[in-house]
Amino acid sequence: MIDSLKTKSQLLTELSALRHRIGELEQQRVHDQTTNVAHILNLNRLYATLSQINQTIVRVRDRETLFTEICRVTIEYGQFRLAWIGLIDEADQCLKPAAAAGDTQAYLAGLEIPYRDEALGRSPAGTAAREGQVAVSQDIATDPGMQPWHERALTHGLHAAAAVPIRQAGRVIGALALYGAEPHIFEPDVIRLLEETGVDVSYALDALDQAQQRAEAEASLQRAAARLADLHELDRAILAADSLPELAQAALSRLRQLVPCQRASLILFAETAVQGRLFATDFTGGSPGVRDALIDFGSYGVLEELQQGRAQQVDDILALDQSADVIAALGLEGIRAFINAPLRAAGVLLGALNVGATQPGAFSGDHLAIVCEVADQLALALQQAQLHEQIAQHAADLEQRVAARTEELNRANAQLRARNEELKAFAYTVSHDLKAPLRGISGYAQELDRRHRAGLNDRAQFCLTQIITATRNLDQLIEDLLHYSRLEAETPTLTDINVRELIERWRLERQRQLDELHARLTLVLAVDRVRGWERGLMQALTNMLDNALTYSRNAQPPQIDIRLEEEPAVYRLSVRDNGIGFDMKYHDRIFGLFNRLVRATEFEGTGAGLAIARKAIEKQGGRLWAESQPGAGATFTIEIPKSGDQA
Amino acid sequence: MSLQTSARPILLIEDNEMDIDLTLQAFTESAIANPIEVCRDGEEALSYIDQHASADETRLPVLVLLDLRLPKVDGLEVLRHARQQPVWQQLPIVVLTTSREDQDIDAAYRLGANSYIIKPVDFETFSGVVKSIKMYWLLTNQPPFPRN
Repeated sequence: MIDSLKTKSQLLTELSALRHRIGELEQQRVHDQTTNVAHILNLNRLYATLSQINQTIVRVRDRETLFTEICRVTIEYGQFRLAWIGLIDEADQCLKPAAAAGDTQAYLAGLEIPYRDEALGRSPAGTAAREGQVAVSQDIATDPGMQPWHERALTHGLHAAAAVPIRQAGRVIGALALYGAEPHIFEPDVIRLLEETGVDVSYALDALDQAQQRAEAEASLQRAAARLADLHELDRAILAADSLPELAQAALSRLRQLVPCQRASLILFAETAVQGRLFATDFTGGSPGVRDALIDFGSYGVLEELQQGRAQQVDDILALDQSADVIAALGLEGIRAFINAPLRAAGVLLGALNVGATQPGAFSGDHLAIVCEVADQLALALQQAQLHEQIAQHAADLEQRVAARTEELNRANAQLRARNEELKAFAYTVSHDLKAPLRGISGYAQELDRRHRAGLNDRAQFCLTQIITATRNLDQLIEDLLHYSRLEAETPTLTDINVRELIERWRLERQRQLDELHARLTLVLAVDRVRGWERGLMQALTNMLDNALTYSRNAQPPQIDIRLEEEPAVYRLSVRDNGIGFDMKYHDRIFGLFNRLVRATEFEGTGAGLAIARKAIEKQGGRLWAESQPGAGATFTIEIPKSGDQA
Repeated sequence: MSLQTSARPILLIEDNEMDIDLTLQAFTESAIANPIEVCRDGEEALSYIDQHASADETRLPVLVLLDLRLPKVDGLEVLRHARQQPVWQQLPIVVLTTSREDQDIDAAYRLGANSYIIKPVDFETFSGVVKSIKMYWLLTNQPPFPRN
């Protein structure tokens, strides 16, 4: 309804306006299309450049080629007049061209940009390098920053420039600079692509770096593995060696396979000396100038270094300001370069390992490391070998001492056996030779007594009786002495002993005496049997019981108590009487041979009984002691070990 | 008991003169009628054995009393030698000595002694021992020679 209200002229006017607008839009479209095509072509070109740069990055393996190629590709695909890469020279604080492409390279001749300087370093390359971002000079002719290079640039037909920083491991190391023939060619899209190029190149540099590092690491790993294998080989050689010289020789000859040298020698130090003795050497041909010599390290000043564990490497003897004998001797051998590595163990300098070569500077850091490692291994092996020798020496000493002691012991044993034999012979002699005359005295005295008594007066008869008594006493004394020495010489043999039976045997033998004295005997035996030396125990028991009976004869009645107890480690057998007893201060005396505490007229006996008893018990590892008080009886106790160990 | 037997001697091998005298004395006290032959060292004993080696030899002893410790040749050696002779092998030999040594006793019996008696010092005791010897070896025991 409203439309229908509009006039025709109104409609025509609107139509005309619309047509005009369409015409304008069409014009605009054509213009835009033209501009866009140019822009798109331009961008395509830059993308192609970037793509080529990326391909270059992937292909190229070293930095130099990378830079050259980037410049070439940029010129070829990017239609710039000039492309160059400048690197920062830290020493000169300048950016200097490292690679370039384009037909106006003459522009770069002698070009150095003091990029740190805000006044003089304001070219795009300088600014990019300094500030780490893209810098552009859209019109060199009017750019005050390009003032120093105005003429040069315009002469070469360069009107616009842009630069992008190149980074390595995050740090700016230079810049890529591009130049065009027209001003204002660096539009935002171009700049963005330029930034991308910078990032890619930086990435390429890092990648190259890593690759190189990886390659270096691999190479070093391989070297280390090879060296390790060599050192293992050396270790085996060292281990296989039997003696110190053999060990040193093996190490030196192996070392010479690892480190190319004409001589290798091992010098050993005395414990504190400044001088080392040349211990082992290994040479290539010729006669060595230094051999078996004492080497005075003190005069040559390297000793302290070695003591501190530091090796000495000399690349050329001729350059050394040193006239020490050692150096002179090495010089005579034609040695120019050498290494001295210390052999240290527990902080003590044991020696030095020396390798020498006729070629100056023949030794690398690797060689030094190998020599040091071998020196360390040698030091360890030396120390072990020395320790081993010490131990062997010690063992030999010990063996010798044992042998000496054994011989001593054998001699002592032989002596003891001889003494025992002597003792037996003595006993035999005493029994036979001493008793024969005694039998004579006794026999003739008794003959006088029985056949001729009538012809003797009282005094003569008394004398005769005394002689006979004396012969009886002497006979008993000899008998006891023999007994004692026989016990001394005898070796106890252990058997099971029935103690009750031993006591019964004694009781039967002494029955008459026991009856006469009305003596009473009590037995309290915890066990019947003990293990011991039967003959010795019987002897001791008999003597103890006889002793008890003798000294209790005046008691009313004599009372003897025998008790046998079993302890974990011993048997204890005691004999108690109610006799006269004794003062404990005489305890040790009563066990002495022929010691009596009472006069012979009071109690019979030679006094040897308890000494014999004690000997018999001690022979089987036991002991015998007494407890008493005068007038209160006495208790004699035997202890024999259950183990049956002999004393 | 034949006269012949009782006429045979007792051989005493003993080096100590006093012991010989006292032994003879004890024999007399014990009324032993047999003659006593005495050898005063081992060598003499060996030759006595060698010279009287036949069973019908009149001086073949009816009993031998042997001391062990003798000059020149030891008593045990004399015993060994005697036991190697066919006739002396059978004769009663009584060792009469002062030695109580086990090894002497063992050796004596091993070599064929018939008895081992330890000589007491006391004459009265010794005299008693001699009486026992007489009672047993001369009166109770049946000797090997002569047989009839």
